[in-house]
Amino acid sequence: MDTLNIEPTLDTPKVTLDKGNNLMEISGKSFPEDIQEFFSPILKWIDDYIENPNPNTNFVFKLIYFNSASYKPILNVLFKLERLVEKGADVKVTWYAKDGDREMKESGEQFAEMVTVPFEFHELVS
Amino acid sequence: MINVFEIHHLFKINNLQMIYNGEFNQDLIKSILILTEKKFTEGSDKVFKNKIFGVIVECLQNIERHSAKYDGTDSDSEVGSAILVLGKDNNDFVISTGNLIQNSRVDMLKKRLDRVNSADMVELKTMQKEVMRNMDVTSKGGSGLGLIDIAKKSEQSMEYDFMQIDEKFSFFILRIKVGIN
Repeated sequence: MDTLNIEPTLDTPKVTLDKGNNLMEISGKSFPEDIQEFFSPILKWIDDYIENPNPNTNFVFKLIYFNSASYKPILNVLFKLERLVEKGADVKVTWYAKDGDREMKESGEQFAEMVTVPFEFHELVS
Repeated sequence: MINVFEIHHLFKINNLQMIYNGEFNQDLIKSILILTEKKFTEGSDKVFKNKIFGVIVECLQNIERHSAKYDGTDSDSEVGSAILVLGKDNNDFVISTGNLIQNSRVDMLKKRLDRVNSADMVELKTMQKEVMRNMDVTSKGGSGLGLIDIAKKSEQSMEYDFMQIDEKFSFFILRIKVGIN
């Protein structure tokens, strides 16, 4: 399947969705003007991936900032990964937060409570 | 014509950093991101800068959604213009906004503000999860997540006021404080 690479801008994150190299990562800042439009290809890519996934999936979030409108699409990404868990696949989310960024870490913990996908937490070194 | 010195004085005695009056859009929000990182929070750590910027984003996006112009019910030239004031007050960074809203929306907004103001951090997180679970997939916001996000970042009560202008509109003032660490 095709790789989805989105270069970062001031208000949108860098996105790497690469099945061949088993890399799935969203990093940077997210407060796009049109949240639906931005996340729609990402969600579509994951839908396709779920049909024929790798044996191991590690979805990485290295976010520095995201606005409240980004909560729902991020949750939707996690709901989709949950479907992989239900299919018996080996799936995890790795959530990075900068040292001292309690809010970012807690946001990750909050998401972890809302889905069955296991989360791993790491410090983001800039 | 207003004297520039008076404005200068106003900024100085009130410890203001910036006043913007006009239409809010994404380009303005992006410019404010650059200013916040480079200027207003000089010397602060990244986490604090992000917090300030986050509050500003939610305030401005709230205005985009709630200010009277976007209801498309009135073509008065004053409608839709809003004001953003950034400044410092002792140990707080203060973000204030003002915009017109329809009188019919005042009660709803007041209720939301009071509900968020009365919640502690644990309750805010519960509210946030509840809203997220019940949110429509196609939702573009406006669900109250923004106010909850502001409250989590500010960790202080939001001050607000509604000044009725006429039978149709009120001026809504919101004042958010974030402690400078």
